[in-house]
Amino acid sequence: MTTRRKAVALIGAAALSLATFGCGGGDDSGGGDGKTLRIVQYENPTSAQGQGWQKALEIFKQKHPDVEVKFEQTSFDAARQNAKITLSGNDVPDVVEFNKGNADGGQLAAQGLLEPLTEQVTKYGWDKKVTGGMSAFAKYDEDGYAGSGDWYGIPNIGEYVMFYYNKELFSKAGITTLPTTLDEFEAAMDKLIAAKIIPISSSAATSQGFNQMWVWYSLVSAQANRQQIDDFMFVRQPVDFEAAPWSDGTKKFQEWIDKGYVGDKLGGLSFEQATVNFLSGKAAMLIWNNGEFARIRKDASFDWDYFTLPGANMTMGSSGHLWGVPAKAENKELAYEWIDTTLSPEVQNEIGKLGGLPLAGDASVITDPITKKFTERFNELVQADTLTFYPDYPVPGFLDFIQQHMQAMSNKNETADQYIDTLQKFYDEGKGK
Amino acid sequence: MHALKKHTPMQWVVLGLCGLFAVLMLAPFLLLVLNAFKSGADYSSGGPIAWPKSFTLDAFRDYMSMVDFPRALWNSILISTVVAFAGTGLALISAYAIGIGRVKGSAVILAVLLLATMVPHEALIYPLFYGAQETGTFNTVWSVIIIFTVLQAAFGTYLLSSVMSTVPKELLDAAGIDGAGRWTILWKIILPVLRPTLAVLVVFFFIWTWNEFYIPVVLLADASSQTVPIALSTLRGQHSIDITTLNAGSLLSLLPTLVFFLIFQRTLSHGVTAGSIK
Repeated sequence: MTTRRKAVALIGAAALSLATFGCGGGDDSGGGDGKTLRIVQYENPTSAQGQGWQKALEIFKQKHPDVEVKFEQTSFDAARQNAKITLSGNDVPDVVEFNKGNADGGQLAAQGLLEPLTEQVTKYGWDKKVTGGMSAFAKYDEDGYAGSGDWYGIPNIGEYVMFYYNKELFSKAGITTLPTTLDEFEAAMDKLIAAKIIPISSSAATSQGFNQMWVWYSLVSAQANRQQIDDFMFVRQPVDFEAAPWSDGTKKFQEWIDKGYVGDKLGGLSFEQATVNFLSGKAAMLIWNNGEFARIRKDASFDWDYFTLPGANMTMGSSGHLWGVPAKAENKELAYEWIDTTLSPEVQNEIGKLGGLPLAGDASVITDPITKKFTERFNELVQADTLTFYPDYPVPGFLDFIQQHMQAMSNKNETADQYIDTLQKFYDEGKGK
Repeated sequence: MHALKKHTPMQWVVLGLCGLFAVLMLAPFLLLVLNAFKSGADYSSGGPIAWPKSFTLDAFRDYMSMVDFPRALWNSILISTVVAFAGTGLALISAYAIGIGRVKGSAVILAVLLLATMVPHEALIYPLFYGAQETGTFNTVWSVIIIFTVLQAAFGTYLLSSVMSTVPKELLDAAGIDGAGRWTILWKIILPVLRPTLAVLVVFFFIWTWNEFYIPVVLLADASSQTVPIALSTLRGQHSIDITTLNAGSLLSLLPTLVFFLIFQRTLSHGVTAGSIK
């Protein structure tokens, strides 16, 4: 009989817990009352942008003391995978952070899951703060292609790709002046190789080994002009990959692999390992964006600095992730207020001081010299409108495709010509217009 | 005579190989522990394999400040425990019907159940998402509990019904002659016989549910209902990873399953061999 009694007790306990938790879970915040604002974002709270948003939260709460703000943390991968499914649900956030590009933001916009923001952009003057190439991936047409159409997203910050370098290894190899042209840069790398130092720390694992892709696209960007990049990026005019800058850049890339400028055995390395190889002094340079700036500052045990690819016409870089307002959001007015707060001078300058490359910040308020120089270089690139975005944006599935071929080329299983051939086919089939 | 002899060289070789194998199996875990106690600068300059210059708890402090770990831990424990017991209970009852009782087309039913456990979760996610919304369980742990109770029970039913078909028919007949009803046979005869197998199922269901990622990440959007693996994933950015914090977080997330395993270790090893000797 004890077994039965136990079973009854268990069922009773289960029913009880069901009842109590059922109440807790079932509450409905009955939105649309302008009393709550739910924000879902995925920035690391310790990053410059994350800390800027903490400031934005303070300001927002001061302005709207009667509003309950829910500031929720998710991950980039989760947000990217689930954006479509969560935004089509009943219980959607009021503001979401989302990834730019035709495959992500473009799809959300085209499926009507995001609210067009064009009216708010003029009302709040956001287009004065987010300008030129920085606004390209904020706008999507009715088919979800970036570069034109209504505004759907508002970026806060930008990013660009640079070469971090180890000053000690440079002087050890006898490099006294920084290269200013591509030829000088290659000569410097020859000196490093002669001194038995790997010039550039790179990686080409199909998952997370992005460095080689950035080397390749930096070399393409180096010889490109705005028209060529925009045709490719926004699928405007047919792209001939057999012609400049694509073929030249890709051939140069193969040359760099063959000469050992990027090291070898890259097929299994991720960007994290490439960063460690640079920070531990195994390689003289690291190609990466501002994502590791704060870490290199904190962790490097040697004297370092950085430059963008010498003698390049254009440089890899783009706007950051975007704020969007879901079409089903219930407190849209508060959502617009929130976006405007994150673009306010207080928040933007806070992000800038921490090295976060704000789009509407004032570089002159930055006191730290390294951060100031780093921000000013970014502002130069934005003003000259020479940022070329990331190469995987135009076509769905492009990232995996490029990564596979970067790995094959790095392992010397594929030549530049073979890569260009398949690239042409993949792009033409995938672009869909 | 052989038993009295001292260890032969061959035995030492085997022992050495076993030790080597154990170190190899433990290596990933040791690496995790090693890097969880390193400082960021130490990791960056020495890489993952180097011995730490000094041990620090910074990574744990960072992890705790970034993630509401106690909350995630509670959610994970609640979900995994309820699923483990409810799933096993459900599997026991349905397997009784299929394995002992006479159900027409039981093979087909089992095939369908097995199929349910083999279908990738991605294929199920839309119906589950809309189902959770309609029932108001979206963003609460109950959506995940219900789904995994059913999914795990499907596998459990398949397993238990085949184990039950090995229970000697004479035993059941004898019980029937003694006047035992179906309910009594289940509780007083089948349950004691299957107890070790059931214990193994509970442990497996707990660990499997603990490690689930895809369905929880879709259904538990809100930070308040996140599980440990989801909380862990929030540490990864697009272009930056904080490795030491990630290691510290992984270590903390591992501990509960480790404790659970140690507690149930005996039932586990019992259960694995349970069917082998009659």
